[in-house]
Amino acid sequence: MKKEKILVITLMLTMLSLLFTRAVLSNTISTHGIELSEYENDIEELKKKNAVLKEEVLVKSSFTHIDKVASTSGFVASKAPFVISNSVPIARKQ
Amino acid sequence: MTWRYRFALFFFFTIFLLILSRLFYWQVVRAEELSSMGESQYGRSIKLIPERGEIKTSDGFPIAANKITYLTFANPKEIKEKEKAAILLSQSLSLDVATVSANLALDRFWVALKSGVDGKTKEKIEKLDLPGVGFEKHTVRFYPEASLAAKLLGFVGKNDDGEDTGYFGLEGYYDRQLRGKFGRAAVVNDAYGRPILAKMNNRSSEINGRNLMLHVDRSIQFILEKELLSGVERYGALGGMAAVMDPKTGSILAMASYPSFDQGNYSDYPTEYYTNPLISYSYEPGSTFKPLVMAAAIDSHAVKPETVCTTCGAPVQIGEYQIKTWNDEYKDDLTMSEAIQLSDNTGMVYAAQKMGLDRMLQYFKKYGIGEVTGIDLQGEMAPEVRAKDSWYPIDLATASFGQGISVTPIELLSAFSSIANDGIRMEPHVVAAVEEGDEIIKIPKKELGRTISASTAKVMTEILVKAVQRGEAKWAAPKGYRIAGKTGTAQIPIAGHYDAEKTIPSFIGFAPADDPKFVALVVLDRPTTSIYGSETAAPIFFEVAKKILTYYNIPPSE
Repeated sequence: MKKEKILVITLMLTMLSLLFTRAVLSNTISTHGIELSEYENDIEELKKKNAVLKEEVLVKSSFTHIDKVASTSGFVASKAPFVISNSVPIARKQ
Repeated sequence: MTWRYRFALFFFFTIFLLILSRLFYWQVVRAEELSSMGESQYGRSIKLIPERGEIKTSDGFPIAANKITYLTFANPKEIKEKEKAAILLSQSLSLDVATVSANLALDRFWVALKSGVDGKTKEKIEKLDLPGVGFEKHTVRFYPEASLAAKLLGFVGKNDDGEDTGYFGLEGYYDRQLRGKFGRAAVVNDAYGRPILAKMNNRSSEINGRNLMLHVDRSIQFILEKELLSGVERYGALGGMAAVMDPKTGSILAMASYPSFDQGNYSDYPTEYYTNPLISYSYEPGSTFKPLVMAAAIDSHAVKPETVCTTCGAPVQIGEYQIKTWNDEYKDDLTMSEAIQLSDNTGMVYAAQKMGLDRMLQYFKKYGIGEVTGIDLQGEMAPEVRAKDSWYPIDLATASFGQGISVTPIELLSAFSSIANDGIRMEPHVVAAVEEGDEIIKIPKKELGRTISASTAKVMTEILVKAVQRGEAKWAAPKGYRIAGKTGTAQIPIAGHYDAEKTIPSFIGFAPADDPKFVALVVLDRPTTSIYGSETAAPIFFEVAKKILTYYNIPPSE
C-alpha cells in the first residue's frame, strides 16, 4: 500500500515538473519566432544594401565608365607603343 | 396536444434543414475559397528564387551580374487624392501623368505602374508617403560594362512560365549552370499573425547558379570593340566582326561584332542583332583562305615555297572560265611564297592543281572546314563542304583562293591558328572554369588534331611574315614587330555573279610570329571608302595588335 502511494506521488511530481518545464520553455521561446523573423529582415536589408553597393562599385570600376571619365578629363591614348620590360638584375648586367 | 407536437416537430425539422443547407453551402459550395483563406491566415508557401550565376572575365570582374530593382504598384481603391498622386508618381517614375492617372482610375485592387525601378527612386517615392503605393522586389540581370561583349554574352529573358532564361551566347549555352535551383519555404503564423519558431526552418534551400570564369580578357575585349567600332565608322562599313584567340590553348580572348545591342534592353533591338555572326554567319573568306591551301600544298609535298609557277604569266583558263589576279598583273617566275605575298590567284590555282582534289579535301577535314568547331556558345553553325563527286576543276581552282567555299569566321580562325601553334588545332573555348561556392571546376584545353607538320607551320609563318612586310598592308603594320598575316578581299555572290563593288574585306594574323600570343581575325561588311582588305580590315587588325602587344608588355624585336 505504501509502495503504491510512493509511486503515485512520484508520478504526480514528475508530471507536475514536466508541466512546469513545458510552461517555462514555451514562455521562453514564444517570442523567439518574432526575434528570428526580425533577424531575417535585418539580413535581407543588409543583403539589399550590399547588392546596391556592389552595383555601384561595378559600374564605377567598369572600363566603359573609366574611359568616359578619362576622355572628359582630357586623357588621350598613347600613339606610340611604350613598353617597360622587366629590368635585368644588376648581377646579370655585369 | 397533437398539433403542438406536430408544430415542434416541424419547427425542429425546418431548423435542421436550414442548418444542413448552410453547412452544405460552407462545406461544399465555398469549401475551396474558405480553405485557401484559412491557409493564408495560417501561413504560406514561398518560392525561393535562386540568384543567377555571374559571368566573370579573366581578371575576376563580373561582366554579367545581378541587381535589385522594384516593380512599383498601386491599389487605386486606397488612393483618395488621385490627381495629386498621379502627378507626384509620374514625376518620380518619369512617366506621363496621363498614363499614371489612367492606371489609378481603374476599378482594381492592384495595378502595376512601372518595373525596373532602382532603389533611389523607391526611397524617393517612399518619402512621398502616398497611401496605396507599394513595391515588389525583383532581381534582374545587370551588365556593368553595358553592351561590351553583348553578342558573346547573350541575354536573359523570360520563358513561357515567366522564369528567367538565358538566350544566345554564354547565357544561352550555359543556362542550366547559371540558373540554379528553386527552393521552397513554409512560413506559418499563429492566430495573431506572428511567425511560429518551430515551423521557420521548414524550408528547402534554393541553390544559386554557378559562376562562369571566362578566358575573355576584359582589356583586350575593350580594345577590340573600340577599334572595331571606330574602323566600321571610319570605313563606312555596314558592320564588322573580330575575334582574338590564344592559338596555344584555343582560349577566346575577345570577340566583338557590329551592329550590336544592349543586353539590358534587348527587346528594343531587331532580333537579327542577337546572333553572333562570328559563329553563325558564313561567308566566302577570299584571300585569308590562301594560307590554309598553301600550307596544305607544302605539307603534302605538292609544292615548295620556292617552287616556280609555270602557268602564272597570264590568266589561267579553266574550261569556259578565266582566273585572273586581283590587279590583272602577272609574273612569269612567281614562286609559291610570292603567291601568298602578292595574293596571286593564279599561283594559288597552280598549288591547288599540284595538290589535287583528294588531298585538298583531306586537309579541309583536318582544318575542320565544314564542321562546327565546338565553341561553347549557343548558335554555332557550319556550312557543309560539298561532296567530292560534285567538285569540278573550276571549283578546285576558286576554292584555292577562298571563293566558292563558305566558312564561318570562327572556323577560319580555328584552322588558321593551327599554323601559329606548330600545326596543332585547338578547340576554341570561352569559359575557363565553372565556380560553385569555393569549388572551381576547370575546363581543360582540347586538341582537335594536327593539321600540318611543325616544320610546315614554321615555313608558312615565314611566308606570312613576308606577306605583312612586303604586302599591300605593310604601311599599317607596327614597326619593329614580326607579325604574320594575310589580307583578304572577298566579293559577295549576288544572283549568280560577284559584285565587284561590294566586298567583305578581312585580315587574319598572329603575333609575335616567333612565339604567338594571339591570333586575330577582322572582317568588315561592305565598306564604302575602299573595297580592299589592305586598306580597311588590315589597319584595324594592326591597331588592335599594337595595343595588345603593348598590353602584354612585349617589346619590338627588330
